[in-house]
Amino acid sequence: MASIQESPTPAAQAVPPVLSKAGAAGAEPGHARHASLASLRPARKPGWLERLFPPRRPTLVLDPARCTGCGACEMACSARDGGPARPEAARLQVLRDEGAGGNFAVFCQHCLDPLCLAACPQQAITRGKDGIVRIDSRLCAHCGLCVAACPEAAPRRVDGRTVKCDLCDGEPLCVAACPQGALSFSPGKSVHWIKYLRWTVQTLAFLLLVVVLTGAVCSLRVAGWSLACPLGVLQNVFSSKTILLTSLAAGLVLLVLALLAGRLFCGWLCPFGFLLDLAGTILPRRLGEKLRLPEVMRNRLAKYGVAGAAVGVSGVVGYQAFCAVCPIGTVCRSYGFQSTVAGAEFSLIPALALLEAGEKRSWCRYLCPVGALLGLCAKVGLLKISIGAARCKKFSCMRCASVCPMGIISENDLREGVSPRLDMAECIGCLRCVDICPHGAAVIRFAWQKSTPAERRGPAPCGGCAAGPAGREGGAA
Amino acid sequence: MTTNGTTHGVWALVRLDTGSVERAAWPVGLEDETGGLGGAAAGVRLLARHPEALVLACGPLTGVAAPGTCLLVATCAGPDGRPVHTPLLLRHGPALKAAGVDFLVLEGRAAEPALLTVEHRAIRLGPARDLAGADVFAMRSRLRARLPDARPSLLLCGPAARRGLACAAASLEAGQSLDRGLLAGWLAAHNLLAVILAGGGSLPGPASLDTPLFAALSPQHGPAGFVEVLGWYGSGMAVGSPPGRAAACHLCPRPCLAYLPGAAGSAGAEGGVLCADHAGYAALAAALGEAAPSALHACSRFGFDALALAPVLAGRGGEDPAGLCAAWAEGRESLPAPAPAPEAGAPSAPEAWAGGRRAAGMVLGICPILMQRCPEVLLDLWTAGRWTGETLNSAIAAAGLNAT
Amino acid sequence: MDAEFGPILAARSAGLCVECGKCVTVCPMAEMYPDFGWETSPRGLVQLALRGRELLAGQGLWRCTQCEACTRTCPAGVDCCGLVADLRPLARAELGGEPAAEAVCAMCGAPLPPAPVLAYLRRALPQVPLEYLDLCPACRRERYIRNNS
Repeated sequence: MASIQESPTPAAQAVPPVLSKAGAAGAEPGHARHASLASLRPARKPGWLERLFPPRRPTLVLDPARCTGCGACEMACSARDGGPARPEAARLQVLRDEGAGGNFAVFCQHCLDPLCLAACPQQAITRGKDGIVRIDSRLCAHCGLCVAACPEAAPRRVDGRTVKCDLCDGEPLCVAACPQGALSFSPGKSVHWIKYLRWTVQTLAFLLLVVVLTGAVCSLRVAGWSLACPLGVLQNVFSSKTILLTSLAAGLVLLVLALLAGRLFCGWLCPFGFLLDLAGTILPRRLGEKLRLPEVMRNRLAKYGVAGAAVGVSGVVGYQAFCAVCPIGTVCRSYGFQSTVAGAEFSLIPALALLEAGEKRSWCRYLCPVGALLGLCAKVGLLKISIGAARCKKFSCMRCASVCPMGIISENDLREGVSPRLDMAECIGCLRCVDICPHGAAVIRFAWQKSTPAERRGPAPCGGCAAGPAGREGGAA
Repeated sequence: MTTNGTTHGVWALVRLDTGSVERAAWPVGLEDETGGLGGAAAGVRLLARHPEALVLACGPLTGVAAPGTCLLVATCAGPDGRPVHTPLLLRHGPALKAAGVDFLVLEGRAAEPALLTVEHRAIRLGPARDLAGADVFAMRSRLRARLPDARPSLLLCGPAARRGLACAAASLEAGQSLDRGLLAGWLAAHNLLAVILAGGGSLPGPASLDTPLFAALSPQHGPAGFVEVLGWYGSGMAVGSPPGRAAACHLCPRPCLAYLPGAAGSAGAEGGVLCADHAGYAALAAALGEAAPSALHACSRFGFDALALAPVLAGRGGEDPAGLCAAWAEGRESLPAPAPAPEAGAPSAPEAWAGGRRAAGMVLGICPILMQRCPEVLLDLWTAGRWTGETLNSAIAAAGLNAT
Repeated sequence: MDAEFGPILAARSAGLCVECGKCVTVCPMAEMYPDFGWETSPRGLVQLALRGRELLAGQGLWRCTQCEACTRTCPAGVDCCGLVADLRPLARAELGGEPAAEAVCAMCGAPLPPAPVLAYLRRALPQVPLEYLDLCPACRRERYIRNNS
């Protein structure tokens, strides 16, 4: 103890004994403004090319219906580096539910924007060009903050070291070891065919509705059949105080479509929606935070208010009031061969398109009264999107939530491990979630079907095996 | 390190009365006596040294990275003094071995209800007063709530055994073990309500999975769902639809266990049951038909042996099995003594063959069901372990099992 | 040197510190806290511990993530990480468990990282609701099972 008592050094004496946060700057100027490692990392800014053709996201996929909890994956994983097998040290962990027999596995999702990466003070976690999120063991201090930051605690602390799945660089041993085929490796989709189909349909619809049949969305009359914007019809009824059955029927067409297939019109056909999607793809994302609707307007009920106001004002002023400013109608009437561009009408479009850099489809989420009418029908409609209960990995996968343009898939629900419930009045049926889910957990279902997708049966049956001899395996001698 | 590097060469003696724990190298001579094997053979040899004890013994292949290596054998002396073996499936064997112990010998009677935790670096005896009045489901959920994570394997002594009833069985997790009375009786008699096998260390033996062995096994083994294995226990029996989701023991390529989910409103509402006891379920199905799942729930809840209880329940006709089991376990009604099992004649040739396979599994630490289904592939395991047929037969004989 | 401090300093070989600063170069706290300085660095914590009890009142002890990088790297054999772990109970008693008290898991009550570390996490992660941060890893999985079976 004597040596400890006699040890104060000159440096220690020079430091004021009072501890305070602010004191640090004065105490040692060299440390106060040290360069942070975080400043060395370039911010992740996906270019438009990367957004159009997103990189692969490799991941493990678990089919819980097939998992029997035998633990072969853990054994294979823990023995990967040649050491003895130790299931507790494996990078993926099998969870066995003794009550219902539902087995799950927790493993790294290799997120697009990993929370562990954001939390790592040593910048030791990187996302490689191959999409695999790795811990660089040369930089890792094994502080365990990634474990705390991950919603499913997928990185693990084992004997003071932090380990994490790196997918065995694309050939995972756990997948090879799984005797039931419950684990599989998905290299990530390279062709998202729903996406390309949607863009094609949207482009064709734009060309058809805007360029060829100018103004077709507002009203279209072909050989005795007529089609009209439901909101326009409604305004017309109130402004003219007369009900024409033919125009009502024309307005009902889109509503019936919404009853059958949700707001399919918004996601796949609406020419203004197409422009917004295009703007969202092209606009640089760094504009995002600044360009948002003010907080008061960001209320999903606002669009019903807009619809009500449009109808009410029409009744008072005697003409279709909203149609004067309607961006959908403006787009429809602006580009075609018989275009009638009006400056005041047109000014709304770039403003709304700019919002795409921030929140996607802000117009459709909060303001569009046509979408509001369609949404009311879609709510009681035939179809729904179900983000599945059992197959969905939840926690940190977030693929569906990150692509949803309407922002209706609750990231918080997913992080909490709950199946998110989708409000079909808000869903525009773009199917981005269905397209991107590697687990097959986002599916289209009829409204009355249960949310949980059907599970595949367990082990494949194999015939031709004679029954063994009868006997009790409890071999009491 | 001993045989083939697949065991630790360590055993532990726990005295339940004093709480003392002694870890030591294998006793001198044990390896020679068992031909380097373990499991049931080692259990008998250790029982000879500690006649009143309960021995939990891993085989040399228990926990090795090969198919079906899940078995832990519990051995204690029967009423006639001869050793009786109970195979414990699931992950109990690897969990004991991962705790760094091959054989666990429990001796003496705890003064008050006790609970034994076997971990990588510590074997601890603790009080279990709060478990004393609980049924198996409640015991499981209370223990789980207390354990830091959900991984440890549990061996529980249910209310039926604590009451000293004839048809008691020990419970693995919330299912039944293949115990036909003695293991549960031993635990109850020695006041040990729960054994928690927490593992935590590494398993000895070859580290990487022998995937060719897995691949070779699957086609040979054929279907091994719960229903398929159930089919062995009698033809033409109405078994009904598959009872639940498939579950497998440690590293088993062909899951034959099933979870029976807890039915709302029934006795098992808190949780499901793991059906590990095919013979028991088959007996219940034959005796009760449609009511078999709920009867199994009741058996699991109170720790009854389904096989032994099935004729008793059948004798009570249409009464609710859950209510009956509760009445017996809570002492409101006395359990009629089950009819003694008919004296078994000489086994037929296939039965004797299967018995030998099962015996080999009990000595090696491999699932007895798997051993019956695909011995040819598993023979590779023995040769890899340099065990010949003679060593195996002598070990089986040493274990008092029927060899062929 | 009082009776509580002495044995801890001796057990963790604090007296061997030569102030080389290797621990500071590996310490993740340097990246976590913008006001990282001598007195909150591992070296500073060891030196302040050698000088007496003032250390217990400060924030410094509670910023450590217990990663043991300093202990692994120390050429003199000081177990700085262990020293912090041992001093925390003393500091807790000194502070009455109040300002820098560790949070506990909302479900099982297991200790979570101390408040400054959690505050760093909330700063570093995106500004979205992260309710799972007050659960320990085991309970996150427990909840996963409960919500999914």
